[in-house]
Amino acid sequence: MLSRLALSPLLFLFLNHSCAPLLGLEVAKSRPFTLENGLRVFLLEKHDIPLINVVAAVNLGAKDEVAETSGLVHLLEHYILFRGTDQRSGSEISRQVRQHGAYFNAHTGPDLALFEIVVPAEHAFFALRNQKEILFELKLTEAGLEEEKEVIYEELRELEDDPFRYATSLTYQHLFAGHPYGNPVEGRKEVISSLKVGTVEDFYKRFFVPSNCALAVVGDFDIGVLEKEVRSVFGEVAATPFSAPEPTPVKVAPPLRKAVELEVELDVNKAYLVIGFLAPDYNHPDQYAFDLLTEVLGRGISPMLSFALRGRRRLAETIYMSYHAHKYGGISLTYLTLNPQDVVAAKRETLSFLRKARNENYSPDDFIGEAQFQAFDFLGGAKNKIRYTAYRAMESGLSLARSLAQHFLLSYSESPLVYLENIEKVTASDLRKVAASYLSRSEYVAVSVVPKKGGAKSRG
Amino acid sequence: MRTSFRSVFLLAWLSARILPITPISPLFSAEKDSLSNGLVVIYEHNDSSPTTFLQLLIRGGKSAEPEGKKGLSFLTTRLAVEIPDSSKAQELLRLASSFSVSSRGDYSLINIECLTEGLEATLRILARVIASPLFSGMRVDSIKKYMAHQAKVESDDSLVIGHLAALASYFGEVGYGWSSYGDEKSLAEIRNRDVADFYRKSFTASNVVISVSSDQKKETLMGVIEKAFGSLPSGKPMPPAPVALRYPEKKDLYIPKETKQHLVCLAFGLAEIEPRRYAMNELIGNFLGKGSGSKLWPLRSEAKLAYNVNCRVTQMQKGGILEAYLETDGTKKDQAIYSLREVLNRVNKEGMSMEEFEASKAATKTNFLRDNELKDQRMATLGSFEMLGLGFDYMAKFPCLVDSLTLEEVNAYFRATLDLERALLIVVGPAN
Repeated sequence: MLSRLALSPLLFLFLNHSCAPLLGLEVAKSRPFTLENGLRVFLLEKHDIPLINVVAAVNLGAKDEVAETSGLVHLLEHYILFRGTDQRSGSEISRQVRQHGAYFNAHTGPDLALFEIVVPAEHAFFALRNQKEILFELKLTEAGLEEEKEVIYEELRELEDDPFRYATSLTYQHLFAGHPYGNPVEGRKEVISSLKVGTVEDFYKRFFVPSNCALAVVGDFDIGVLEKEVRSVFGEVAATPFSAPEPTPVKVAPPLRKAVELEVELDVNKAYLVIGFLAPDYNHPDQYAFDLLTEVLGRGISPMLSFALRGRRRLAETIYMSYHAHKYGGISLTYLTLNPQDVVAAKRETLSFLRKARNENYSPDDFIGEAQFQAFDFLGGAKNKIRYTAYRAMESGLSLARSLAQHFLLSYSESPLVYLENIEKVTASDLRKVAASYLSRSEYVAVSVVPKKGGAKSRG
Repeated sequence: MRTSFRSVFLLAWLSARILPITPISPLFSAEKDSLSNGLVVIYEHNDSSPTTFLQLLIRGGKSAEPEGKKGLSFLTTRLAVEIPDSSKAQELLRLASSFSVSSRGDYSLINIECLTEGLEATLRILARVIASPLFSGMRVDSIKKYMAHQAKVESDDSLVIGHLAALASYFGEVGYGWSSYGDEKSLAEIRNRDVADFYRKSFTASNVVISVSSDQKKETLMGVIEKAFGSLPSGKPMPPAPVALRYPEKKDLYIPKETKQHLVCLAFGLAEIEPRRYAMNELIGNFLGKGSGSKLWPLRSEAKLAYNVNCRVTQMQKGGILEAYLETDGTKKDQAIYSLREVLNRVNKEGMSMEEFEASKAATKTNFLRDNELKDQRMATLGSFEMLGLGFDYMAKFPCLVDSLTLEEVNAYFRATLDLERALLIVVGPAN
C-alpha cells in the first residue's frame, strides 16, 4: 500500500493533471455544497464497488514555499499522516485504520496536499472523522518532527537511486528556477533538518483552515445520509480566515532564459533522458491543445516521436511524453530509455523533432483533394484516446475523488464538465500553434542519467 | 464510421454456442462461455464506461521455456502482435486502441483496450496478425534488441534485482527463476524456428483463454470475438511444466550496486498454489508489510530505518516467494538486517493476535476490492485465477475464503512457511 511510489510526491505529478474524469458527472448522483466554515464539499455516488473514497485537499504545496521552507509541506504531510492528533497517537491511528480495513495515504505536489482514505462502505463515518481529526486537530511535537525527518532523509536518498524520478526532479528544479516550483517537492535535507516546530506549526495553522480546503467523497453511499454526516463531522471545525504567510512566493512561473543540459552518473546499465519545456498552466486555454499534442507526439502504440527516433538508427528503445499543468505553470516532459552512446544524438533528434512539430500535418483537414483520403488522422486518434483515458479514470472512485478535490482548489472555471467539450473543439492549427509556442523554444532542460565512467558496477 | 461499427455489432450473426451460465457474484458477475473452436471466454458485462478490455491469456509462460531459451515466451507473444505495416498501426492509433504484452511464470498475456465503438475494427487487425504472425529474422532481432534493453533496465532497479535473485534462488534454471526478458546469452540461443514451434504449441484454442469486460451486450460481443478468434486451431493444452520449489543452500546473497540505499530483503519460498493457501499468503503479505500498522511498519516509524518497508507476495502455480524488505542507508544496513530478522522471528514464534488477524482480514478484503475496481484490473485478476488453476470464480470466493480462515490455521501456516532457517537474505547495495 505505501510502496515507495505510492507516497512519492513525484507520483502526484503524474496523477494531478486530469480534469478528464469529470466528464459524465451529470449522469451520476452528485451534490456540491459549502459548509458555513468555508469547506467546499463534493459528493458523488458510485455503487459498483462497496467502498467509499474520501479525499481532502489542502491548497498548499511547493508553490507556497520559499527556499528557507523548501520541503516543509512534504514534512507536514508525513507528520499529519503518521504522528498523531490531540486525541490519538500515530500508532493508535494506524491501528484503527487497519481495523477498519482502510487504505490510507497522502501526497504532496507543486500545488496541493492530498489526504486520502478508502474504506468499506459501512465505515464511512470513521473515514470522515479520521480525516477531519488528522487535518484539523494535529498535535505537533519536536520529538515527532525529528523522527519523521529521519524517514524523509531515507526517502530523499531513495529518489536519487531512481533514474527517471531523479532526472524529473532535476528538470523541475532547473525549468522553474526562481519560482517555488523549482524547489524540490520532497525538500532538501539541509532545509528540512533546520525546520523547527514553530515554523511548521505556523504553516499548519495558516493553511489548514476549512476555507483553504476541499473535500470530495465518491463511493457507495446514499447522498442524503452522507451529506448529513459530512455536515455533522466537518461542521464542527471552526471557521478561520485564511491568511497567506510572508513573504508571499512568486506566483507566475518566469520564462527560462537559456537551455540547461545536465548529465548525472549513476550505477546504471542504460541511459535515461528527460527533456522538459514550459507548458500551459492549469487554467490556460492552450491546455486542451497541448494535451492532444502530447498524445500525438509521444504516447500510444505509434507516437510521432517514435518515427523520428526508432527508425533505422534506433536511437531510443522506449519513448513517452507527459504534460503536467500546475496552477502557475505547466511542464512538458519527454522520457527516453536508450543506449548510453546514443544520448547526444537522441537528444538532438528529439529537440529537432519537437521544434518541427509546429509545421506538421495532424489531420486530413491539413490536405486538399485526393491527399485527404491518404492522410492519417493523428488528431482524431488523440481525441479518441483522451476520451478512452477519461472513461477509464471514471471507473476509479479514488481517481474521481482526487480530480474533484483538485478541481475545486485549482480551477477558475465553475463547471467541471467542459474538459472533453474543449478537447473536441481543438483543430490541427491549434496543435501547430501550441507546438510553436511551447516546443519550438531554444530554452529547455535536458537531464541525462548515464552509467558511471569506467562502467556500471552492478551485475546485468 | 462509428455508426457503421455499431450496426455491424448489432448483426451479431456469429453467436457462439453457449455453455451453462455461471454467475459468480453480484460484485464480480463474470460468466464462462466458449467459441466454436472450444476457446474459453470469460465475460463480464460492465457498462460503467463505453470501453472494452480484452485479454488473451496463453498458457505456458516462463515455465514452458525450454532450457537455455529464457525469454522465448515473451518474444513469441510479442511477435504475435507485431503489426505488419504502419497503416495498420495508424488505424489502431486512430481508434485509440492499444495493446501490451507480458509473460509470467505460468502464462503470457496480450492486453487489448479500446473504445467499444472501435472494438470490431481493432480485433479485425490484431486477430489477423495473431493468427498468422511473421517471424522474419529482422522482426525477431528487433524484439530481441528491445528485450535485451528492458532486461538491462530491470537491472538498474535494486528492487527488481532483488526480486529476480529470489526467484532464481528458489526456482533455479528451470521454470520461474528468471526475467521474462531472458538475457543476452539466452536470447542469442533462440532461433526463428524455436519461436515458430513455441507459437504453434501455444496459440491454440485449447491453450488460450480470453477474458473480456465490456459494455457491449454479450451476444454481440461473442459474435465479434468468434469472428476474430474462432479460427484459431484447436490444438492441445500445454503440458504442466516441471517446476518445483527448492530451498537454496546459500542463505545470503550480497549483490553489489553503487546506490545510495541498500535493499535488505528476506525471501521465503511458498508452496504450490491451492485456494486456501492463496488466501493465506495474501493475508500474511498484508499483515507483514502493507501500510501503516503492518508488522514491518515500526521499522519505519519507530526505528527510522527506511522510507520504504513492504512485503511482496508472488504466487505462481507450482510455488512462489514472499519478500519482506526495506530500503535503508548504508550506515543502517546491519541494523536493518538485524531488525528485519528480529520482527520476522518474533512473528513466527508468537503468530498473529486475534486483533491483528481481524484487522488483516479487513485490510486484505479492502485491498482486493480496490485492486479490482477497473475493468482491466478485474479481468487481469479473473484471468490469472483461471490460469493458475484456481478457476475464474475464485474471484467471487476470495472474500469469503478470507473470512473463513481461522487464526489457528494461519498461525500454523505462518510457522511452517516463514521459517527463518530456510529464509534467504538478499542485500543489494554498495559492497563496502
